[in-house]
Amino acid sequence: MPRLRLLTVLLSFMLLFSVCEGIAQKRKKPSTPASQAKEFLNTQWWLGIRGGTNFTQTALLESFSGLNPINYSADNLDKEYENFVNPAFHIGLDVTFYHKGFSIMSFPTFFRNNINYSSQLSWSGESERDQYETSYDVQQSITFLELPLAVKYDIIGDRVRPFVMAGAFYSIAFDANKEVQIFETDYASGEPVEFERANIKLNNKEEINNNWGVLGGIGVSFDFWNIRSIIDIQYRHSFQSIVNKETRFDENTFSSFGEVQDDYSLQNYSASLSFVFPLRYIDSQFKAL
Amino acid sequence: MKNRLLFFLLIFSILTLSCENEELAPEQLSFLKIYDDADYNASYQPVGLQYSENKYFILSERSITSSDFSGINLVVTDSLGDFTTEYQLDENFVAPTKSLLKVGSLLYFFCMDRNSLRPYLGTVSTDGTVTTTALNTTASYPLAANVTAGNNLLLLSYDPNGLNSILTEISREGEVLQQVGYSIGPGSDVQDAIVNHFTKRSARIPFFCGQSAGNRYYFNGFYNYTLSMVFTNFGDNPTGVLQGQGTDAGMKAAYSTASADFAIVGYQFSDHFMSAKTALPLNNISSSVNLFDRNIPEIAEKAVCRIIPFNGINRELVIIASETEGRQVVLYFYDVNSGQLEATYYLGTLNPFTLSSITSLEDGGIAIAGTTFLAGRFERIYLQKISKDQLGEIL
Repeated sequence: MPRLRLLTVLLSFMLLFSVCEGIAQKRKKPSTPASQAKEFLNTQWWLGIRGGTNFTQTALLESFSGLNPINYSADNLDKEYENFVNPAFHIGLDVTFYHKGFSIMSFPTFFRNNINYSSQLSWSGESERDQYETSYDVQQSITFLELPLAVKYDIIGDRVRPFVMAGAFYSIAFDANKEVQIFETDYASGEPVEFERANIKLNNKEEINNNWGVLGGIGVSFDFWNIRSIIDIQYRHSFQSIVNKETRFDENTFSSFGEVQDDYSLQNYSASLSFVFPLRYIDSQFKAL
Repeated sequence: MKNRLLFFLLIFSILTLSCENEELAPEQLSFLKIYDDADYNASYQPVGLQYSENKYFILSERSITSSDFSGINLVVTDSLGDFTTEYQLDENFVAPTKSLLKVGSLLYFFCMDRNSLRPYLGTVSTDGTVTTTALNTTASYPLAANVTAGNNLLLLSYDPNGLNSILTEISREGEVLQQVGYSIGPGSDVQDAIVNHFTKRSARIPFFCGQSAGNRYYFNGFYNYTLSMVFTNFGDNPTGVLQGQGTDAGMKAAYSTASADFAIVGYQFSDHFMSAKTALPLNNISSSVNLFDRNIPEIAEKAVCRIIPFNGINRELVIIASETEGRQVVLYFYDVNSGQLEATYYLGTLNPFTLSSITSLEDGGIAIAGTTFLAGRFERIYLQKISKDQLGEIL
């Protein structure tokens, strides 16, 4: 099924570009050098690379734990999430079709999201020395192959072009790794003694679903030589859980000590830098916009 | 217009891709759940597991201050393994047999009064309430129990006065139907071994009983100075005996697959052996050491062993479950007819996992209960379900 979906997405993008090309071909006329230059300015394909950094926060949809409390509240097992603290990186392509101030763009990207959360367990008895605490500090990193589609509008057009953009994205879970640090605190002598019991890092891609959402952003383009440099800041918002509910409670290293994932959706801020090149009618007479 | 249409088709295809998969029914999902108690000194040791009326019932022992014998807990979960209720029996009732029996939708186990040592039948209704019925028998110390072919209950117990191992067939209402006692041998002192079996985990003895496919009754208990697997028709004398060596060797678990064929796990001091197809001496006397062919080195010395039937994918299997030296639970899937090992599956990683009970489910999956040690020290019950789909992948 994932292969079928990937194929469908690729076909969709091919369809998109055939549409754009169709638009471009329809408007092509017999031209003079002057009109050719004007058409070059008004209609253009751009292709390049982009990369940057991003910060993720999670929106909790439903809490889960591998532990079932017999004589205390399940709320004690809730996780605490850290938002926008652990930067991640993304890198990909930038494909843009520009026409008279508007652009339809896609930027297929390997997009990593870093998520941090922690949870605590405690046990106590009749004496003060009968106390013990455990904490799980979790770093979950997820790499998606993100396939966005966005519309961009250049607010003013010159060598420096500020723009706004909006669109949607579909993300295919490509890889995921989860690292859990287990810290124990023993009160055997009355005073707390903390130590690290284990640090476990394993691939857990089977726990992650594909994702989709909407995105918006602002940015600015700079045209120098034959290269267009683009800086943008984007916000991504997804609405549904990325956690696979079918594998959540599977027996594995993490669930064997009660660590399973909540249902959460992702929100993300990213800053990117792109370098793109004009593709259409490019020769030594023309310079990029 | 055509271009617009194509563009909308593109948007539609992307939105279609974003739709979620349809949800799987609960019975299609595997899970591992651990039931935690915030009490530093609490300790749970499950002894029986059954699934009835969309609930899991886990019978467990708990430490009590009023007796060296274990008290009795019943933990109830829903069909997804989420904790529902816990029921604690009065502390007068102790020492549950190491199995939870199912007939229809009701569950049964045996225990005893901590003062009189008189055996009681415990009946668990589908809402998790437990009623107890005193048994009219002179025996004490209920050691093992099973269900007969006629859906009655079979109890192995010990008579400390007559120094007999007692096998009793009991109706589900608690009426004694037939009973026979076989001498453990004059002067033989097994009283300490039996008491230690209840009070010391390291001194557990693999008592079990049942009825074979050929309707012969059997029990693994003390007979003629040694731990033996005894076959009987409730006559004055056993029809056959598989002798062990004191408590140092003998059988740990057996499941009847045909009239004389059994799937077995045996032990010889620290070594273990197993077979999914072995003919046992229903009508003569033999020794368990004759069945020892090769050691299974990963099985721990004091490991619990359980055997259940399982109708695998197009195959009739037995699952032999046990505990490893690495503190994991291991499941061996054997073909009943060929006796061949089909697959092996391990449970547990960071924290130790022990085995208490395993049961097959009506939906084609299996469920396993035992203990794990949270933070490496707090003994808590775990319940693991392995779905039919996952078993298909294992096999």
